[in-house]
Amino acid sequence: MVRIRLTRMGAKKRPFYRFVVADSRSPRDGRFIEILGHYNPIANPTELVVDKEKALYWLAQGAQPSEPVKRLFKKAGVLEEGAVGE
Amino acid sequence: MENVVWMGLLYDFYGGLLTPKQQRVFGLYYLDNLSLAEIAEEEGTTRQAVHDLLQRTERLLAGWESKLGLVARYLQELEAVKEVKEAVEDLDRLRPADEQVVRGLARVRAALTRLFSVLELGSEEGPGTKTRELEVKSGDKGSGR
Repeated sequence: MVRIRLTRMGAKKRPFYRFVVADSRSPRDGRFIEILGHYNPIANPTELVVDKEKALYWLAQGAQPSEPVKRLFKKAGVLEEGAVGE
Repeated sequence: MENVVWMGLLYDFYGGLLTPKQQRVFGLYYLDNLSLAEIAEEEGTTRQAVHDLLQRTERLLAGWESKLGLVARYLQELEAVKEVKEAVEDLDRLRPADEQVVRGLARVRAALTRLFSVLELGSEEGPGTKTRELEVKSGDKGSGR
């Protein structure tokens, strides 16, 4: 199964996240298929960037977003309330 | 703040107090964002066991934060320091002619640099654009398609 994850990058105490498309069969090694955007929660204002076109493409392919990804995609206007996987 | 971000920060501050197994599972869930089922497969255990372990770990972290409050304090300090930095930059832009004011501003800037290092913000830039690009680039290495 292909999944969309919110993986944490950046240093300790400086959270910075990336939205990545990855296969669930090799979860540990951090390999991913594509980056869809990023999220910087401690920037002021919070920075949330998603490539909507790519994201919609992967969702249409059946990629499963994790819970935090779903929430943030809604915030970014990529997903509508009550869409995909609800 | 998103729950996943809060959990990540708790882990940054108190993760060292957890057992290696707690650290591993918590990291897979909150930093790598794997599902319970994926972690269960990794660990050779059940989804339920992973869930229970995560809940216990979350309770431990929340307990430490309620006693010590290091994360809440850090976030407040971060906000205040960023505000001071902006204020100093604004004052600097006025190009004060008074020699004393210039020296005073230089001292505030030097103190801010020290504060940034105490708060482990790396450089005076803070978590700014430059640093971010570097992080993304270094993260790209070895993550082939």
